Amino acid sequence: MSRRLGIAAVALLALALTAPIAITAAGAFSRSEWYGQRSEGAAVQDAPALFSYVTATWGRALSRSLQVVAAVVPLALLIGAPAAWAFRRRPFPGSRLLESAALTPLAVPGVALAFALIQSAAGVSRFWLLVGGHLAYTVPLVVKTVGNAVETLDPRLEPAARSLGAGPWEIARRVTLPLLAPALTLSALLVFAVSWGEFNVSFLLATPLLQTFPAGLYLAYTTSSFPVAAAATIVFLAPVVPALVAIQAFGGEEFHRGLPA
Amino acid sequence: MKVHVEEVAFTYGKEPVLSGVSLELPGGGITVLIGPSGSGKSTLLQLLAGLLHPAAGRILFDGEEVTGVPTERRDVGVVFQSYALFPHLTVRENIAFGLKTGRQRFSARSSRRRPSRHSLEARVWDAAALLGLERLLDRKPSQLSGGEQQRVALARAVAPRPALLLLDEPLSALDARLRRTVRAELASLLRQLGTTVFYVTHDQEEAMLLADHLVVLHEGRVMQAGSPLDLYRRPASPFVASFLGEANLVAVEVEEGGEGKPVRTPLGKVALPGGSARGWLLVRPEDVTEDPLGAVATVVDSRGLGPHERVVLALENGAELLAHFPPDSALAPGSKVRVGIRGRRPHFLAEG
Repeated sequence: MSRRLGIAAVALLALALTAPIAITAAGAFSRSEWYGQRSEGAAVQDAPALFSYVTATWGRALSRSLQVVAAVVPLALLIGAPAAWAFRRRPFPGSRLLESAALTPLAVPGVALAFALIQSAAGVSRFWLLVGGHLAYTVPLVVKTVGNAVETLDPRLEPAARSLGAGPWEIARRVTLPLLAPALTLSALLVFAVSWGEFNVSFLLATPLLQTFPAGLYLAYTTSSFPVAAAATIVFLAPVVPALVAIQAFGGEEFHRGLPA
Repeated sequence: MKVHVEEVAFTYGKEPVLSGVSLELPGGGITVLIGPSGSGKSTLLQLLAGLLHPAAGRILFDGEEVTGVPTERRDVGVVFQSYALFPHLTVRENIAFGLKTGRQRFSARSSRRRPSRHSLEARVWDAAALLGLERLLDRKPSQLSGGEQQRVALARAVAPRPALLLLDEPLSALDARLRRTVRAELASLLRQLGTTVFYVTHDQEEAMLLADHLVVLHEGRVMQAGSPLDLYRRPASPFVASFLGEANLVAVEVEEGGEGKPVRTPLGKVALPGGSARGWLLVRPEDVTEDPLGAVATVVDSRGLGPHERVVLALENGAELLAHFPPDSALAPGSKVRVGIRGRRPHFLAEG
């Protein structure tokens, strides 16, 4: 009985989560006429044409998003991972407070964060403001994910490596980083997914020339026909879905670490 | 390698952990440091390893001061209580770890550069063979039993052939039965290595079995050091007496003017060393014998433990006495026996 109920719940959840994507996909691959509207002119007749139209129109936003992600992913890891390690392994007075404080941006509305960034960093270019905004949302994820992994490391491994003649860099390279690799990969994927889909900050910091893809999507939904917006969404989702699948895989890997290979 | 520890002190926060600790580790011998938990023995091991640095005092390796030298530059190997094996590496890679580090050994006799690939494999194999790990080389630590992990930890520590091998309660994570077998193997292995060994334990049997030189630590101070049997037979304090095995401490007092004469004790007359006035006689349970001319005692409890009969006696003055009688000599509680001291020359501990 409870088993059936469970299956039903899972099925409902799966439907709720995938139905919008399925409908969007159907929309993207269908003809505009089916929706009773033609807004994009005669050039857009079939699905391939629609996609090339989308990439042509939002190409700049797409490359902007890629640039932002390319900056945010390594920076978030470079800031978050050493901080997580320090919080857990080299605690200092106030480090607990600081660790909690590092998580607060997650609870701040994007609007507020965007305005704060514009107000406080007037001289900084919009691109780096945007990167800063994304870092505020992604560094906490890295701190949390890597911090939990650091916690599971045997604190005796470092002294053991030292007693075998390894210096600090050698320990990082041969012991700490390999053991944290699953957590680092997981956080990189999380950062990618969040940064790629971030809308609030991106939208508010956007200028006509500096627009990330999600901001472009918003415009597509407000100004274009449904097939065009749907096609844009599919382009947007293309890298996210593999990333989410990989997150599942690595999230699972976390628990298998140290078990028989 | 000879090791000298001179007046070493260590504090954790404001708590003194070690104060004025001096000791000497004879070269090539096994020095066992024994003490109750919290006595500072692990701290002392970490000071020798260079994982901690003393607040005061000096540590010398073969006469050279190493007090401020970090672990990675000391010629030491460490076996940790929890083994601390690298979980992402195979047994082979764990053993090879110390052979691939850029260690700049402090020790003068550092003819050992990084071994070449061929000799590296040979040395991993040697260490594995020494501990019977040849068939486990491709396993991960999580695929090994506790006893196997312990052997890998030891192989990893000895593979770089350190001049000083430090073991921090290496058997405490094993269950009692396994501990007994491994203990004997370890004793012969450590003697075979011929390295200077510093071994920390709280287990008295382990200490007696392994030690060439035994050091008793209590509340951060060295209580006594010497050969294990000497410490067992002639402890300098009631603490050492009762820490190294079961002990009956019989209080005695020499009357004024009675110096040099045999003293009357609940266990008969005993001659004491001259000049002493007050103290205890150390009577080990195995030294209590049935003696037709001895003191009368009442049996309180008698229990056969296999190797011997553990008997609790009450002397006429009410003092309890623990005796180990030969096996199968069960006594009925309440019955009377006459007991004396084997050899009639018990060790005397002067008070103060």
